[in-house]
Amino acid sequence: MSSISFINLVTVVMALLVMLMMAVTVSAKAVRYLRASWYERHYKRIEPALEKSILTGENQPELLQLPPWQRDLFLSRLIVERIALLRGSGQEFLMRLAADLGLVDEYLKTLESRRRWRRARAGQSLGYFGGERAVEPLGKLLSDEDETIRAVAARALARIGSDEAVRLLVRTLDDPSELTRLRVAENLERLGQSAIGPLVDSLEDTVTLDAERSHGQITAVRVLGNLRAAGARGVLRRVACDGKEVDLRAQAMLALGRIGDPEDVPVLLEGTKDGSWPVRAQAANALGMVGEVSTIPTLKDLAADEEWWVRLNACKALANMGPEGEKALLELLQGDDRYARDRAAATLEIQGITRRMVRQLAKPGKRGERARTIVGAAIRSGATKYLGGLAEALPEGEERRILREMLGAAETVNGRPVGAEAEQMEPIGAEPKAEREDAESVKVEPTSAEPLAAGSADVEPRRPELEEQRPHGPQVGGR
Amino acid sequence: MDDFEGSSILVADDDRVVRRIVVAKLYGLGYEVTEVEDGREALDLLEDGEIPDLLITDSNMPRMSGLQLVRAIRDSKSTDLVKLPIIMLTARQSERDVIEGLETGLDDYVIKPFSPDELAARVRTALWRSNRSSSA
Repeated sequence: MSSISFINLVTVVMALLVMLMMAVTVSAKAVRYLRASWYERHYKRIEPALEKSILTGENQPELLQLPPWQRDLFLSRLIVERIALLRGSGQEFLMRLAADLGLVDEYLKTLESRRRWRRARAGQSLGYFGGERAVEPLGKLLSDEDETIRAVAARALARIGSDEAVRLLVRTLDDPSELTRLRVAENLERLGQSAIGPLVDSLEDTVTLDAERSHGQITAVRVLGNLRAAGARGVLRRVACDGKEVDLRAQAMLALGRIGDPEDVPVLLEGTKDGSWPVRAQAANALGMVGEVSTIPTLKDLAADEEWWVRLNACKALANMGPEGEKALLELLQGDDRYARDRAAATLEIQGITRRMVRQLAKPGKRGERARTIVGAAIRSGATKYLGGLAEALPEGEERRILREMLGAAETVNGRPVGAEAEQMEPIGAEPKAEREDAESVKVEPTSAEPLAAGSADVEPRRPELEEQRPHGPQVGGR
Repeated sequence: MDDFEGSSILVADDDRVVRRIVVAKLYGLGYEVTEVEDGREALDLLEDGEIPDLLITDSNMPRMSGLQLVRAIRDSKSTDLVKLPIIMLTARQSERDVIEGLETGLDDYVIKPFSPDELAARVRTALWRSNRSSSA
């Protein structure tokens, strides 16, 4: 009996709870709807007067008579919405209107509010219509305790875009927070040409750089590279040669590559001799971006560098150099250096050159002969899994037959399966048995900075998806 | 330049604020302006025979983009539609976007953020050009 009454009680409580939840949901939706309608009604009332103001260039009495809370809640939003879409006289008028209505003064005060969302909203609005007056207060907001507010301030300053705003942004590149630095860099890139001068100035004391400022300077160099700032080449060359920090020099090499002026090749070639692998890697990368064929011999040497990352970038750079670079890769593939051979084979695969050669296997004359030589060299370098897959995918015909024969011959030599049995093969990075035995004698110890860099072939990834996972210095992007 | 007061203009843009600004500006200059929210709605209107003197269209719109609309208009069998002057008003501003738009058959290209006065001048020029070619 008591258990029945307990069940009844629970059922009643559950029903009440469900009804309460329904009531709360309906009320919340009703409140939201009423709020939206309320906003909508005010917007509809204010919009025509605002549009008339934009078209006539005269302040409308309806707008001037709005109480301060309506100016803040409705009018400022409508102004921001329109400033974002307009330029020229329409935009200038709206900025003047916001100042005339006291919105700028109001938001300048609000920047000191204790509520973060109020500071954020004020900062955002001032970015649209605050003009030069808002620059200094927004600059102070760049050191706000809240990371989001700092990002809002950076965006707002970029929107204003005056010289002083740019200078403040550049100064914030030294911020200890990486996220803030990234936001500032993003906004400096948005500013484009006007950011270049202050960024160059910030690099002038690079040689006497202290470690605390290196993050900011590395970011400044990266922004200059992304902006392809030809006017910054002088300072970038100096940073690339004399910068104390490895990452800074590496980033400067990359920036010079992005700018792509052949006159900077001597500096980049100097970078290929740097004692630190990140600098060599980015110098190789940059040489590929410049695309000067006279640098091919240097890149061929770098393809045999002791560091994996340098080899990778050198081969990628060669692949970017047209037929001459392709020829160099093919020479590396047929050369004696197993590291260079391995990277060359992987690059030729990624660039689709190996596939093209397979298609020419059955061609008569020198073309076919060259294709057979190259495919043979790729097989000797250990690229049998890729070629095995290709042999399976090819339509029946002479090319497929020749490729299978070549792979079969390799299988006989190495005692390993190919093609359909590829799943049972050794890891893709593994060297052919004969070469691996050979390699034991030349095995290089991994460095502490790059544990997988120059170690044995057994740990060296070959596929691009594996390459992505490789650790490297945090500031050295743009492989 | 001739006076084109009373000319009809169709504005296709999914952004209500852009439509309001453009309509207010052109209406204030004496044009008859019709607005639609996407390319499909604009095409339906045109295929129903309501052909304006000029079309202003955005690029990124739901259901049918501005470029798809322009292609449909230029491939139309109606000569009135094929000759319809079109201005694209868009935030897509890369060199490639502009070239692609002009090659698709646009008469002019205006980039957002835009100046309503400049747009009005371009509208007048497009109407003048269209008027001159039809009277030639």
